[in-house]
Amino acid sequence: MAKITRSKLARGAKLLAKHLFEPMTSSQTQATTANLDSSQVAASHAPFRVNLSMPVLSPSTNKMTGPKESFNLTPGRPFHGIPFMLPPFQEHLSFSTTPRGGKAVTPSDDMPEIVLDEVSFSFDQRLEPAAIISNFDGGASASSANAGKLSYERVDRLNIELAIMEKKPVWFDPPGQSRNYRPGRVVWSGRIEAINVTDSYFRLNPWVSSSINEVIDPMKSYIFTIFAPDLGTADTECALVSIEISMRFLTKLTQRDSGTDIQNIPKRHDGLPNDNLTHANAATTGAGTNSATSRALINAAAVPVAGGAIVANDATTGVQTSMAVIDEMSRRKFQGGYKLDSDLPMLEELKDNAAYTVLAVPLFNNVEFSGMAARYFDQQPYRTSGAQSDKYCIDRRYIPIESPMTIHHILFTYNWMPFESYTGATLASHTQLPALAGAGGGGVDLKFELGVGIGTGVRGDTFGYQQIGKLTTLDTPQSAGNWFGKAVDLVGHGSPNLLPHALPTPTIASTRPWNLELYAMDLVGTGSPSLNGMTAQGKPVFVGRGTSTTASRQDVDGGASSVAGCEQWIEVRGRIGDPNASITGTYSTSSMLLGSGGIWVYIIGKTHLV
Amino acid sequence: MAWRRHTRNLTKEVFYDGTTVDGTRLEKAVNDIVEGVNSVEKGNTRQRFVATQYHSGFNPPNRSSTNYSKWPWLQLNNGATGSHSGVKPVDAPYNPVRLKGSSIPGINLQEDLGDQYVWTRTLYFDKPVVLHGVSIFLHNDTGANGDRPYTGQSAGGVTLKPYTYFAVGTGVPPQGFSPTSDTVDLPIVLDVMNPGTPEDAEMTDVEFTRTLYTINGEPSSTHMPNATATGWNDFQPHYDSGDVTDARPLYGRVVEYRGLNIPVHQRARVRLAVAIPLYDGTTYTQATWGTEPWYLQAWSSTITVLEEVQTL
Repeated sequence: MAKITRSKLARGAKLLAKHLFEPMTSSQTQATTANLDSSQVAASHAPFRVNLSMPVLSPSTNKMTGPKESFNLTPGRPFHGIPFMLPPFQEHLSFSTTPRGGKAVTPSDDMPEIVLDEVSFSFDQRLEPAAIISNFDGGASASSANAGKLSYERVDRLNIELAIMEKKPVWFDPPGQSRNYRPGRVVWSGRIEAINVTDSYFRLNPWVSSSINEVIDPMKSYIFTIFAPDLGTADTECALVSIEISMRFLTKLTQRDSGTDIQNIPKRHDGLPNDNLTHANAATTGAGTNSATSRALINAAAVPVAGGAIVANDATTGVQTSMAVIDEMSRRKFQGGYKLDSDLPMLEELKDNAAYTVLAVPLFNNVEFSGMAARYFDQQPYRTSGAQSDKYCIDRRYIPIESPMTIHHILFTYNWMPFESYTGATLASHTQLPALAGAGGGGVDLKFELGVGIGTGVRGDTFGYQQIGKLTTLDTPQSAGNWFGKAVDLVGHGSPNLLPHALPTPTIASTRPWNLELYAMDLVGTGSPSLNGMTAQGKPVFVGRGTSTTASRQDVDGGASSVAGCEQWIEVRGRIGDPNASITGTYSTSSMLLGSGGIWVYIIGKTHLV
Repeated sequence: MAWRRHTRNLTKEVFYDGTTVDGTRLEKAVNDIVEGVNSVEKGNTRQRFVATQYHSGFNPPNRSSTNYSKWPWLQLNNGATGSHSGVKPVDAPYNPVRLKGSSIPGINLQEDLGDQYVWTRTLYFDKPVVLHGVSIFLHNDTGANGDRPYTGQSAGGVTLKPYTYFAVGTGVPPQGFSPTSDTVDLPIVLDVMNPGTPEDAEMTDVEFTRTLYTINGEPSSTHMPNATATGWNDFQPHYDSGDVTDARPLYGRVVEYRGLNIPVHQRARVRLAVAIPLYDGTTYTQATWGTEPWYLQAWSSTITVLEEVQTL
C-alpha cells in the first residue's frame, strides 16, 4: 500500500459520502492491517553506526606508511586501515555466477538506501592539551620509561588525517584473476589539525564531521583510514590511545523479518503483526489508554449509502464520529516495532519498523605489540608451552543483548599490516607472511577459527550457548583455496614496499599485493545466499531477550535452541594457532601471524523500533 | 504534552449538530486527517527509537612476557610526580584529577599516595539520545589451570581469592578493611562534559556511576559453570587454547545496567571511564591487584544508547 488518495472537495461540488468517508475508511484499513509504510512516516530514516574502538595506535604498532612519506621526510606512519562492508539484507541479495566465474549482482530496488551522515573520532589525551608518549619512545626498546606520560611539548604531533575509501570487492572477479586491490575512490575525508587539540579551554576531541550525506554502495567495500604522519620521529614517538571511531549512517525504515523460517524467532508471533489480537477483534480504536473514549471502528453501517443524508455528529454515521476514530488511533499513537523482551505490541499499525544495524566487535586488538608474531607466540595469553603443535591463542568478547534484532550477515576481517616488536635487544619489523624458518620461507598451516554464539547464564542458575554463526576456518595463509580464495575482498592499503611477502627478503614475486582481507561467515542453517558465494548460509537469526511469553522459539540450525529462547548475550570467539606444528621454534620468528590492530567482526542485520 | 484547546490530535476542526459546517472546514478537516495518516508525525508513533551499541574490549597481553604495554590504561592523576615528560606550561596540569567520584580507600591522589589507571571511551552525539545501558564485564578464568592468565589476582597460583586486600607485598589494608575483605576499588563513571567548559573535569555531569561497591558482589553467574562443558552446551570454536582447556565458560564480574532512560543533550561529549587501582604497596597493601593491575582480567565494555528516527 502507499499513501491515501482522495477526492478533493471543490467549491460548489455536491457533498458526497466518498468525499468524507472514503479517506476515513482507507485510513482505518491501512492502520488496522499494519500497512502504514515508511513513505507515510515523516521521520522515515533510522540511524545506525559502525563503531570502532582501538586501544592504541602508534608509529611502531602500525608501520604501514601512507602517501606522504616520499616527499615530506617524516616517517609517514601509522597508516591504519579497517575494512568493512554494508551488504544488502538477505532478501535483497541476489547474484549469479558469470561464465568466467565472476559474480553478477542483481540489485534490488527494495534495499533501503544507506547514507553516510556523520563521522566522529576521539582519543584519550588525559583531558590535557598534550600528547601521550608511546612505549616505543626512544627508538631502542618497547619499554620507554615515559610510556603513558603527558607531553605538552609534542602536542603539535597530533595531526590526524581520516578517510573512508571505496573499493570494488574482488569477489566480483573470476577467482584468481583479480588485479583490483587498491581502493579507487575517497568517499569522505577529514583532517584533525594539531592546533585543534592544543587549547587548554576547548579542544576538538571528539572531532566530528556531520551532514556528510554520501550514499553508500551496498556492494562495495570501504576502508576507514587513520593516518597520523607526525606522531613519531626517528627516536621519539607518541601514541593515540583509546581511539573511538563512530561512523553514523541513515537508512530508510524497512519491513521486519517474519515467518516461521526466521530462525529463533518467538513462536508467539513469528514477527507477524497483530497475530494475537486484531483491531477487528478488539473492536475499538484501542483508545482508553490516552483518552477516556474508546470508539468502535468505522464499519459499513457508519458510512451513509449513496444519496443518503450526511450528518455531522450522529453516534453511528456522523462525520465527526468517523474522524474521531482515526484521530483517536493517532492519539493512542501508531505502533510498530518490538518491545525489549522480544514481544510485539498487541496492536500494530506501522508496516516498516525495522532498520539496518551493524555491531562491530574487535578480537586480538590489544596483543603485545598490537600485532601477533611468531616471536613470543608461546607467551601469548593462554599459551603456556613452547614447542608443541595444536596450541592456540584465543580471544572472545561479550556483548549484552539489549534490543531484538535479526542477524542477516556476519563479516570479518583479517589483516597483514606490519608492526614492530622488541626482541629483547633490538626492535624488529614484521612484514613477512607466516613461514618456516630459513631463507627459503615456505608455507605453514596457520589456522584461524572464528565462531559466533548466543549465551545464557548471566546472573542466572543455568548456563549454555547456541551457535548462530558457523565455525569458520581460514587455513594456510599462503594457499588460495582455504584462505584468501574465500575472501569477499582483498585490499592493498598503503605503501607497496610494506605489503606482506613470503620470503625473508621480499621480492616482487614474493610480495602479496594486499594486506587487508574481508570475509563472510555463514549463519547456521541453509537456504539463503551468502556473501562469499561459496556456500549457502541459513535464514536470518532472531536474537532477543525473552520472557516466559517469548521464550518459545522457532528452530535454530534445524533444532531447538540450546538456550531455549533465554539468550542474554552475543559472544564472538577466535583462535589462532597451528594444528600441525609448533609455531615457536618452527616458524621464522619474523613471521607475522596477525597484523596490527587485530580482527574486526561485523554482525549485520535488522534492528527494530523500540 | 503542550497545552491544547481541545482534545483532537490530527485536526482542530470539530463538527457538531447546530454548528456551522461549510465545505472549506470539511476539506481542511479531511485533509488534516489524511495528512495525519500519510505523513505520520514522529510524536504520533509509540516506538521511534533504535538501539545503538558501542562495544569495545580486549584480552590484555600476558604479564609474564616481554610485554611493556598497558594500553589503554592511563594515569588518573595528572598532577602526580612524573606524570609528564618534558616542559609543561606554567598552569598545567589543567585537570590535576580527570575524573569525579573516583576516590577509593587506600589511594590519596593529593598526597601522591598510589594512583589509579583509567580506560576512557569518549563518544559524541550530535542529536539527543537516551542512554539505555552500560555493561562492563571483567573476564576471569575459571578452572584450576595454574597458567590461566586472567585470574583477577596477581599473587600467582590459583587459590587466592581475587579482588581482596590480601597483602601480596608489604603494607596494610585501608582503615576499616582486613586482608580478607573484598575490595571496593573499581569506580565506573559515565559523565557528560559541560558544554560551556568542555575540558574542565570539575564541571562534568555525572549521569551514571558505580563506586565503592564490592567487586566480588557482582559475579557474572551464581551458578559456576563446569569448566569443561559438562552440563551445558558450548559453541565452536571452544574457548580452549590446548594449553588452558578449562577456560571455556564465560565467567567473571559484571556491572551491567539497562533501562537507565537517561536523556543526553544534543552535541554532547559522553565519557565512560573505568579506573583500576595501583596502591603504593608501602603504606597500603597493593591487594590482589599487585603491581600490574591491567593484566589481571580481560574486558568487554558496551554502551547502549537509543537514537531517534529522523528525516534524511
